[in-house]
Amino acid sequence: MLVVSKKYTWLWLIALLLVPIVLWALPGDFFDDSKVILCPSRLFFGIECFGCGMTRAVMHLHHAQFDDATFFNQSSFVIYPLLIALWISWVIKAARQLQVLKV
Amino acid sequence: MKVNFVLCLLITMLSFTASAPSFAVTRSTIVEPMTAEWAANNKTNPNVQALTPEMLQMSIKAFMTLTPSKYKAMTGHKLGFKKTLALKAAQKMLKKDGKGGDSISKGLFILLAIIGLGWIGCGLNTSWDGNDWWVCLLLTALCWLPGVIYALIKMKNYY
Repeated sequence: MLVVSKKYTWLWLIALLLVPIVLWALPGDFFDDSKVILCPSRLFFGIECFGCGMTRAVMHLHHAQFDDATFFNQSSFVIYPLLIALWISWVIKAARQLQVLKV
Repeated sequence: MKVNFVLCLLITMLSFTASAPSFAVTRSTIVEPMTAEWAANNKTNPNVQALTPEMLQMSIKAFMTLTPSKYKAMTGHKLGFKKTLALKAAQKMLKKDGKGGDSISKGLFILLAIIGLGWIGCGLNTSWDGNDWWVCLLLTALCWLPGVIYALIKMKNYY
């Protein structure tokens, strides 16, 4: 079993806590005009997959811009709460490891 | 004195006639907003019918890059859930129409060429007209590689 030092766990916890704050600080349309196509389906076949637009949609949801989120990918309304749950579980795990949280 | 009065009256009438608006009866004084060509061509499509008048007047380039936030910045009104879905559907429809009926994407063409089905790609891109597809088929039958090379050379004509 890999034993991660406390220092890295602290860094991980700080990074986790900073991510939503940084995303809130950035504008909601930060990823909208990206010219880079990362999706292989779109790159090779010109067909949008079910995940296309998810980053942009989640970013807009993070800023409570529901129309834009619907526009880019409707599945973001399912994915975003799951991401929040995942984030919370990671924060709690890291906090327990550091004994910051005694639950 | 009488001449001066008549002269003044004439000048006054002339200036009034020159400056007054035309009272001619016109068929219609209402100016209808100009609908963009792409909207006029697709006006029977339900996706296009669901769009707002402001969208229908936009150029196709501006429409294809339109998002709900851009629409709000432009008009000051929120798009709403239904109109957002209609916008997305209309953009998809126009994108599909712009690509053409029989042509396939470049990536798919390369993939077909590699697996020895480049002749299908050539045929789809030329709508099975001309010599490209059957020449490619013949060359593919000659141990696959000449067909691949031929398809990749012909790709320049299609994309």
